[in-house]
Amino acid sequence: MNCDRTSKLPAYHDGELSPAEAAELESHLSACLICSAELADLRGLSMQFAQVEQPRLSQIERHRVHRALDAIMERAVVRFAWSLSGVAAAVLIVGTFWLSQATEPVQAAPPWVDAAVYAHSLGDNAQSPAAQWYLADASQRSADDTP
Amino acid sequence: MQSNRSESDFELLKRSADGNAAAFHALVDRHADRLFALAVSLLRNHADAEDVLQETLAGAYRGLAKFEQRASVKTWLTRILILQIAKWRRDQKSRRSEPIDPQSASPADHESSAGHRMDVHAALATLSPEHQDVLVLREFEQLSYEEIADVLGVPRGTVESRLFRARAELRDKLKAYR
Repeated sequence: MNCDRTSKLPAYHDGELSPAEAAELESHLSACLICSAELADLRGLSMQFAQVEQPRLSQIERHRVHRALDAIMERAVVRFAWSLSGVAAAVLIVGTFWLSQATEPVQAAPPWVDAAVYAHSLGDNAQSPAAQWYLADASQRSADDTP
Repeated sequence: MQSNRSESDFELLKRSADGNAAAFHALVDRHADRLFALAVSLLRNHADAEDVLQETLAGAYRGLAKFEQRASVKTWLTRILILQIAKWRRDQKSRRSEPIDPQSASPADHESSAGHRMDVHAALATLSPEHQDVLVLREFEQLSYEEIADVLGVPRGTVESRLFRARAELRDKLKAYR
C-alpha cells in the first residue's frame, strides 16, 4: 500500500511547505492512514533525536579553546609585524638602489671647455708660445673625442 | 570572557575583523557549545571534537576578512566545522584507525549496555558520512533545507533526497534493535 502524498511528508514535518501546501496536506492527512502512519514515524524519529542530551564544553575545555585562540591571534600579529618589516626592508633596498642609479657621476668637462677657460685666464698672454701650444693640444683632444 | 548579548553576531564579527580579540572571544562563547555538540555527534569522540572545534575557530579567525553577509554567522561557522570534520575523516581514513573514546564509544558498545537497544548516536555512526551530516544538521541543529544546502555546498534537492534516504535507513536500523 502506498500514497503519492507521502513524498511531501518530510518537507511538511520539517516546516518546509508553504502555508497553502501545508493546509492542503493536513486535510489529506485526516483521511489517509498511510500518510498519518508515515508522519508519526517521522515525528517519532525526531523525538528520539530531541531526547539526546547534547554535550557542552567543560570549563577546562572552554579555557583550552580560548587559550588556543589567543595563541593563534598572537601568531597572526607577529606574522603581520614580520611582513611589515619585510616590506620596509624591501622599500629601503629598492630606494637605495634607485638613488644610486639616479645620481650620475660628474662628467669631466670636454677639453675645449678647459681650453676656453685657460685662454680667458691668460688674458694678454694668450699669444705666448706656451699658451698657443696648450690651445692647439686642447683643440686636438676635442677633435679626437668627437665621435 | 564577557559576551555582550545586545550585540548581533554580525557586529561582533565586524569588530573581530577590525582586530578586536575580545569580540572574537565573545563570538566563540556564543557558538562554541553548539559547534562542539555537533562535532561530538559526528565524531563520537570528545578529544577529537575539541581539536576539530579549535581548527574550526582558527579557520574562522583567519577567514574573518572574507566573510560575506550572504549567510548567517551560525551557518558560516557550521560550514567551516563540516569542512574540518570532512578533513578529519580523510585523515582518519588514511591512518585507518577507528575512533575510541571512553565517553562516547562505538556503535557496538552502545548496543550492549541495555540489551539490544541501539541509541540514536550509535545508529547514526553506522550511516554514511553524507547521511550523518544531513541528519545531524536537520535534527540537532534544526537548520532549514536552504541552510543545510549552504553548509554542505549541495543543491537543495540533494539535501531533500539525502535526508529522505538517511531517515529511512536510520529508522530501519533502530527498528532492527527494538
